[in-house]
Amino acid sequence: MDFEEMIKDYLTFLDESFNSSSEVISFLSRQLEIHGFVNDGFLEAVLERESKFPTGLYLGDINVAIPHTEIKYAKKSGVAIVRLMKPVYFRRMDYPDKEVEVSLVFLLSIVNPGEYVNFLSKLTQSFGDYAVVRQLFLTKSKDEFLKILKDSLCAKEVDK
Amino acid sequence: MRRVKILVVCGTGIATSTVVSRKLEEKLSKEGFEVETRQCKASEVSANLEGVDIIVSTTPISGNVKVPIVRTLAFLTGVGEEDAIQEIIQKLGGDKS
Repeated sequence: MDFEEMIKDYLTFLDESFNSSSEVISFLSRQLEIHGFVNDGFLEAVLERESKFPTGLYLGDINVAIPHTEIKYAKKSGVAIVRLMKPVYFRRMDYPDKEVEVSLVFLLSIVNPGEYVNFLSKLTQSFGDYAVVRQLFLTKSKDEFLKILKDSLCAKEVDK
Repeated sequence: MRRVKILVVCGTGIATSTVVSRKLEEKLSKEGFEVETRQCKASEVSANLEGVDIIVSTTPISGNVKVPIVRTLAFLTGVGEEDAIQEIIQKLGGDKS
């Protein structure tokens, strides 16, 4: 699947406010559900996995989280994205006893294991380019946000 | 070329560790290593240690493991990748030949 196609205008939300990582995950999960991307039990499975294996990624000033779960809960591949008005705490993947203030959350729904790995790889490589993360954090327009993200995912693909 | 066997560990031993394995193979082959990777979940490390020179993990590993461990997200996020490569080479003894 074309990675560009997984990024949807209607699954992307800028400058929303939530009080906790669970609230963020519930909101994004609901969006995936409304648009027919995930099966029943997806939300519970993501929350359960997050409690055992958290997905907060510490990058620097602007941090991200990539909650996900097993492919059996996914009906269609897509990613629900939110940029938060104020950061919420996620536990860190590398140091689960520590928390990180997260501003960008990507909730993944992916149907095929190979695709899962490829998409995760492209997405996290984008985070390695701090300029990209900064632009995603700062841009005022949703169109621009989507373009930066898609360009970044595609640029990395050409590299290979 | 020195052969190294790396056990790559993440929470569930599926997606994240695959991303990290690919990156390690790419980066360490440029440093002159012949890399073999194996993946497992954090809770199954002790059963997967045979012949392993070093463990690279994105998540904590419990228990008493005698193989050197590098815990890093660098091969997932790209942040601090060079430092992490140097730490691995150093823990492998620094000798590539």
